[in-house]
Amino acid sequence: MKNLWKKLFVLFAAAVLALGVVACGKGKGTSRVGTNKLRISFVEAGYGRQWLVSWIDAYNAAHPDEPIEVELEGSSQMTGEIGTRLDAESNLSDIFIGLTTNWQSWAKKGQLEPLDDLYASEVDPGVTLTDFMVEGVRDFGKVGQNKYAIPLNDGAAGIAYNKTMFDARGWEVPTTVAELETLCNTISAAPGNIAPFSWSGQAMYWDFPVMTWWAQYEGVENFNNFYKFDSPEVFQQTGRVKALEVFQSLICRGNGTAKNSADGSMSKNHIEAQMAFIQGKAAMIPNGAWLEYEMRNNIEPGSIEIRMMPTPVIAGAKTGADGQPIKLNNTMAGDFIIIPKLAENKELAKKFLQFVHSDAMSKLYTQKCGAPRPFKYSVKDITDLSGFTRSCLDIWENSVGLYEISQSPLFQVNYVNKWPSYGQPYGVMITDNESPQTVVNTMYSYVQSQWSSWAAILG
Amino acid sequence: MKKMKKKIMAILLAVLAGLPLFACGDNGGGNGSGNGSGNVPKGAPDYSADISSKVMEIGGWVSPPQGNWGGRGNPDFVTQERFDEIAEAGLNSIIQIYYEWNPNAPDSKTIKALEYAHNAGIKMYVRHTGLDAMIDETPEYLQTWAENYRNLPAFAGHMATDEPSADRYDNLALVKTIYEQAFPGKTFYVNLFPALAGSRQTGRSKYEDYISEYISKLNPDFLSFDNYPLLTDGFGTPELTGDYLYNLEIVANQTKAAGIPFWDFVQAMSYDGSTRMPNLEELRWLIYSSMAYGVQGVQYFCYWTPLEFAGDEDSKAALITKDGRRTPTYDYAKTINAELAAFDHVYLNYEWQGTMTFVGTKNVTGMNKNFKMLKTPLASSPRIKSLTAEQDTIVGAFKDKDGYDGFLVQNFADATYKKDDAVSITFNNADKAILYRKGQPETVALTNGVCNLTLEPGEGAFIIPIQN
Repeated sequence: MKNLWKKLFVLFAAAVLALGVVACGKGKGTSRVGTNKLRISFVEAGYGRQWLVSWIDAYNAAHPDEPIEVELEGSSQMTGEIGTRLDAESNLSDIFIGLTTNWQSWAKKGQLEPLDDLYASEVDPGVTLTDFMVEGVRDFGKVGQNKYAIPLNDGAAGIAYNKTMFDARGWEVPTTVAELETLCNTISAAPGNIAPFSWSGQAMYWDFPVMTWWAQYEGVENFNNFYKFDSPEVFQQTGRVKALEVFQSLICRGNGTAKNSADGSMSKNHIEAQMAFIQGKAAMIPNGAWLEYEMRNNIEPGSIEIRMMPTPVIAGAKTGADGQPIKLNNTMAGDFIIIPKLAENKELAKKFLQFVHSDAMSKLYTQKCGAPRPFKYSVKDITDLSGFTRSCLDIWENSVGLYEISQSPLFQVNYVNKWPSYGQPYGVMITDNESPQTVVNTMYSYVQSQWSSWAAILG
Repeated sequence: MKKMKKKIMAILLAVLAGLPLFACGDNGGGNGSGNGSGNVPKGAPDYSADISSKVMEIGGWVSPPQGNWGGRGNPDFVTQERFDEIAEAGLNSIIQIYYEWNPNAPDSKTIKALEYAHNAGIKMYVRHTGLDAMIDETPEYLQTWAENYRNLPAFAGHMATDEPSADRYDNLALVKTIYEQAFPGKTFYVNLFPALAGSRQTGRSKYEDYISEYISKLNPDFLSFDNYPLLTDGFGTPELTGDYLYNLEIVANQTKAAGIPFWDFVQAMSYDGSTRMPNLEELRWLIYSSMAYGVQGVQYFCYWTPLEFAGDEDSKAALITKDGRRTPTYDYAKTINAELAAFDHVYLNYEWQGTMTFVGTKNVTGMNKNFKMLKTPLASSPRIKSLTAEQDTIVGAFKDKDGYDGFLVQNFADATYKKDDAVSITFNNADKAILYRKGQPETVALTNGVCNLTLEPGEGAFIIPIQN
């Protein structure tokens, strides 16, 4: 009997142990809690992944006694997946890195880890993360009283051009919208069937220069006031009409088709539009600082030199004390880094993020992908940068940056954004010949009609 | 002390006996619990009497548009030939999207379309704008509003709304009540968002709530939603969404609990810069994976390429381009629809029980991101002793009213890469199996219950194990 008891006990203990190591369905695998393992899921798109790999290598080099093991999950569509995973509380990584989206709604649902301790931590001796950020983005990650996200990158977005083509044809880089319009006529008339612009109807990067024209006309203060969304009246800013008038003048033929455009631009995705540009089918393209890196595998060495031009100045632009138009840069900063509230290894995630927000790591980021980050570091001594990257960084360093950051509850639950009810207005302006004033009026009317009900919902 | 020891022994024995219940069924090879010795019917089932009555809904979004719609100057495609073309593709229903000012006018294009649809043997859901807001109207008013077409034989009901926020459910429920009095037997058609839409669009923090609230408030006869997982990074590198099966799981579980079928829209075109047009294998992957979750109706998004979609590239179009040309997807759909039509009377006799997942032995990562998001995968089936598969595989488990088991075994590897899947299933209590592959039945003898088959990319085989 004693032996039977012993045998039963051994069997029971073995069974309990076995249960503990059985991996159940869902493929969860081993927990990362309290380990040196991190899982980082990120958008692998225009800027690639080398910057992140370099950060991890640098972290391990700096922590030889406590290296981390990072599982990287990169996907060009990761942004769209993050929200679903957070809602499902399933397949959560320790760090998510995504493109501009309404991550604020995740914070409002309690799905994100507050990062206030990270913001208060030192990223370099005597320098906190908050100190290190440029003033314009210090509220980037703020929802309510806490910070939940860190901006991934900054940049220069506007109109890129084929410098090789410009030099060969003797075309001057325009500094005003009027010069840009004249240049389009020149390009259209030139031999070689080159279109002034290649652009993507599906990605609609026309926002990049259009927003800069809007801010040039209204001034930075008014542009920033728009994003307070204090009343529907902000949607009637004249600069919005003026900016769309520039787009109309450049692109809308008035008969439902586009002008000054490479064939099929309306149906192209961003890669196809960029391909047409680097193949020399168009001289210019609305785009951002990622253009060259994203297309690196498709550019024959020596075949093309690309540059970003400072966005040509709109008529009536605000001037500075020197009487010159204020240089503005549409940073398109909005890509973000977050930690899910239910992440398995939050502490290690924060430790890693603290490390990568130093001056040295910021420079490493820029060196690896060509984009700046919205932090106070110098890019002047970063080596091995292409002419395109240098042109973007020159604009970034020498302009006032425009940031789409808002603490308005309406913005954070996505009731309002820069183009409410339309999404983006460019398609209807081309195909349905809607005028800029009509577009702006429609948006204003929509917001005005919804305002009181939104206010009631949000209390 | 002796009594205490006896009690403890009894508890220990009970725990040990119950341990197999905690077995988890995933990752490479699954081992079914038990020996399936329950009430396994003998002999093969016969569903031949259901050939005409059990028919899968195979529909399409966007019927042939009428001329100059929205001032676009397009030709008039509302012709008999165009509706015959829908039927030729194997669809049995079509959804009208391009509404006209007054579909009830005696000479309206809607009425013509319904006549052509009837002649072609298909039904049509009419889009009559304003319906979804008619909370204050009477059934009599609605009948007058649709007087000239509501009795036409092809009129299946109205496309009331697409992808509503849950905030609209209360009003939609009111309209539906009035509608059903006005048009008994006709469908108040609503299509819902996918999980990927997020709370901003669905109006609910949890997708489960978006679905459950729809079911509880509208008490629908079926649930329709869209789910488009075929992505591209822009360079042509294919990607899949990670929540595709998660979405199917939520809808399947909730509709099963509610006792209603579900339909889904399958992606038949590239509609933006991040989505891709499917080839034959990918289209088959979409449809058979939905069937592994018990879908009872599939609809193509789209049938006709929407006129307002940017550009006109055939590489992104639906089954029919904006200007009326067939794309390769038309032929792919036609092929697969013929498969479905050949055995839907069998499949529809079965009720979905759950779906198992198996990471393929050739999956070097050991992980499938779609599997990782599932909350309630079926751990095992008593009828399946074991299963091994080279590629990631899903197995929908079904049962008919007489207790026959059916399994929809699908090669879930991304069909873009065109990898065959060698699957070996050992059934309990099975001497043979009826395999429906591409709609055609084949009876195979089993030795020791073992059924081996190689599934083509995206292919799903419906297998009924038979005990003599």
